[in-house]
Amino acid sequence: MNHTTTSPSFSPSLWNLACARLVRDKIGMLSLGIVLFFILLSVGSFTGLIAQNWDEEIAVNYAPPSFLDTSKEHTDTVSRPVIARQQINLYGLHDPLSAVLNQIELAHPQDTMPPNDEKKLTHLLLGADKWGRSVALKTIKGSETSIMVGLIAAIVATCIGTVLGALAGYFGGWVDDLLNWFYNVFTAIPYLLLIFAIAAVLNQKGVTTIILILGLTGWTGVFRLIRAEYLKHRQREYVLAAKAMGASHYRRMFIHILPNTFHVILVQLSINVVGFIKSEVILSFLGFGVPVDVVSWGSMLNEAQNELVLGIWWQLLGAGAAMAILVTAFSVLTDTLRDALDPKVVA
Amino acid sequence: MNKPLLSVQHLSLFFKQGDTSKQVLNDISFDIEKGQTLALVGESGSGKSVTALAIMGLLPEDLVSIDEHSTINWHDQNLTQLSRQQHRQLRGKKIGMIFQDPMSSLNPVMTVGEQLMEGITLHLSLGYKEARLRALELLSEVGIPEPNRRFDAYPHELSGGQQQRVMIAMAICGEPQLLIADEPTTALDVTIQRQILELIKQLTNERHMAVLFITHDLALVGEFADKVVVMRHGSIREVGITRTIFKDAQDPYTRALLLCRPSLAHRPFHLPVVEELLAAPHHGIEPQRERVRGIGAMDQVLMSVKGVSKRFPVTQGLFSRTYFDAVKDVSCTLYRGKTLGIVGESGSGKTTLGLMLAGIIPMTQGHIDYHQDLHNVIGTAQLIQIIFQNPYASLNPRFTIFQIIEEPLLLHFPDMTRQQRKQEVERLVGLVGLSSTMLSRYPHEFSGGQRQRIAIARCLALKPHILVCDESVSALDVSVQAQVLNLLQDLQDQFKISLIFISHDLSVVRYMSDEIMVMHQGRVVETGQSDHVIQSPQMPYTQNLISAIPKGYLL
Repeated sequence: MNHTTTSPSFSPSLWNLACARLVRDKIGMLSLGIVLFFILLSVGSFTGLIAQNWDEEIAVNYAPPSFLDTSKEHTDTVSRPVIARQQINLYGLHDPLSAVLNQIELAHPQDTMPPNDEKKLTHLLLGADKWGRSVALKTIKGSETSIMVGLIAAIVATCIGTVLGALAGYFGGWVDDLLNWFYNVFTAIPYLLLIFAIAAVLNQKGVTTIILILGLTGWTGVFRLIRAEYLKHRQREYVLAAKAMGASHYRRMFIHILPNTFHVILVQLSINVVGFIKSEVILSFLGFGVPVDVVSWGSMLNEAQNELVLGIWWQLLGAGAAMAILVTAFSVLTDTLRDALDPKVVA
Repeated sequence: MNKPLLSVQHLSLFFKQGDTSKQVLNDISFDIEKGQTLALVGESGSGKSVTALAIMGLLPEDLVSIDEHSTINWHDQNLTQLSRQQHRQLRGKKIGMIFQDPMSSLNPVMTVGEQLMEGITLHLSLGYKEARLRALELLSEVGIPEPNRRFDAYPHELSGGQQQRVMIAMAICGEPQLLIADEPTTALDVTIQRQILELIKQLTNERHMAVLFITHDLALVGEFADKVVVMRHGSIREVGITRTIFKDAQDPYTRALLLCRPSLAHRPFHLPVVEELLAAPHHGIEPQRERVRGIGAMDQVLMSVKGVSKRFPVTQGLFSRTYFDAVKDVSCTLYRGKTLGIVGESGSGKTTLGLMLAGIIPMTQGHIDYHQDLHNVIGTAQLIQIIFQNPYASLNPRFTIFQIIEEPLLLHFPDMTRQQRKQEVERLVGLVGLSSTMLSRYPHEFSGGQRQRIAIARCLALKPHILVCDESVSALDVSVQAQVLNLLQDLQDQFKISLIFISHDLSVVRYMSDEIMVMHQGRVVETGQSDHVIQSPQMPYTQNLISAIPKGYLL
């Protein structure tokens, strides 16, 4: 191992070791690959490289996935517009515009007619939603919001929790009292009320708002655990030895103790990512989530709720499967990372 | 011929790790007669505890395999063949066991009486009232004062010695024929250790009970064991009657164990080391010249401590707080290049004093005067450094050895280039006798003695004038302890470092120190030249402490 590359601020050899171990761990590498793939997907869709046309209504509404053969539904959907046109006179009233409209329609059949359903696809890879948009593309587009929200909010929350927990546990005394009081106030307010309050203060909708809301409310669990870890470690002899050696508070807190709490931080991070992807659903449901014109896995699951009654399950499948794969891969990855970062675990 | 009570024959045992298995015990054979005390002596990793657990049937079956030719005969049963159910009937009733740490062996949420009665009702099938009476009898038998009051006490309300007495009461409640004591006094102070040993001796005489006494300390067993088995690396080195073992040991390892422990009578220039003695020709090694210790008129005072006290607040309830005085009005002097030994039992405040002197915790009262040569380093880490007791906790597990030793250089010599630091770290590692090829490893890959060397190298990086050793060799095996003590002496000779050597072990303190300070309950009991304090102690407390030291075999 190359121990001469030690830098004063951080311990690269720990990271070197971790990387070497990660590379050796096949399942860990697979999950890293999956997580990277999802991140690439969301970056791709954010920059417009893929899934740019996700909101085009390319198929008939509720087109089933292509692996299902349903030729009967196919004929139904095609004949529907004709019926609709005739229904106008159902109540026995004369439509004063119908003659004019019919004339216009006959004169310019290409322009005014709604896009001809016969040209739309009747089957899609993962089916279509109620406007005929591809579920597959929606899932890709939705990953943008969900991964952004899940990852960034979880990182924000974990960072806040770690820093505050480190301060409280390391210094103790009035710093601890103050931060604990802050923590108690935060946890005493009902969660949803807190979200309303923050949303009201921020006063705008969007992904940034959700990240802020989740990040600012989600740090409490991490805080508590990291505080306990620091309480435990600050009296350990290696920290006292560092003190005797003249190491600063900063150095003892973040260079000596922090690496020894990685296992807690990583587990909390992965729990938060899972939780926040789900929280975004609730926020969207409450109207604090993403705007209607933006798609997320949360909003897809929300739509799927109603569609399931009609037996339309592909939107649930799309969002659910993507979420399950990402979340599983992420937990496995953090688990592997935790082991890789612990020099005591024999690979 | 009398049949032995317990006969272990050709016991070989393996720990299974996946597909591979590691041999832990290799062909262990010994007998225990009725009423006999057999001592099983060995350093850590010798397999002594595993042997005891194998007899008790307490080893996890899925991790351990016992060789099929091994037998452990107890009356007419072979214990290696017993089912779990049969073994359970034996444990507690026929064979009792006491463990090292009484605090963690007792359940903290059950009263002493409840825990004791649990065993009694199980083994003797008595009703509540009789069981209670029996429990009270047992408590007074093991020497607990006021058993009626102590019956309802929780374990934390008792002292360490009393807790161990309760453990013994629990072990003998089923009236076993064999008592297995696994390091029963290691966690206790010397004076308490003596009391517990006397209790065990008295119980074996009264009850005609056999004892399998497991310890790392050969000197401890000399006074009361009938037979000694010396183990190393899972094999038996020597079996013999105690007298023979102490007077005429055949095995070089046994001799090494006896020699490498500092004694109150001699102070060799270097302590003999096990490896040396094992490699030596049969007649042994050359006797060493004596090292002279003591403060002379020419010695310069480096540090003089005046009236130092430490008071800790103890919060009680929400608002009221009381205070606990850990160190009360301590004054002492440290001479250049000399060692001040601080000795005391747990709770004497010796560690708190050491931490205050090292500047890790502030003093409540008092002040320290330094020699004028030191005035430019006062308040810096170059003045004083500290080596802690537990070498497993004092090194950051996430740092490589290189990073650990490099850190003080980074902090105090920012001008050094990476190349210079690398050279310096290699030099330091060489000083403490480790190879520079080990630098990229992590602390857990090292043994206790090696870790203590790393901690010493880290302190030396700053070239401190004073080094505080807080129980620095207490957690180490005797053979390793000798190596670390030799290293510290060499460094002191070489760099004229002044040492403050804190320990509960009087013989080690006496070996290392020019001057000794005895502490008790935060106060200084006695201070003086080390040989003087040991040979003619003035205060009763010191006399008591010295008489409690295990003397080995006396005839």
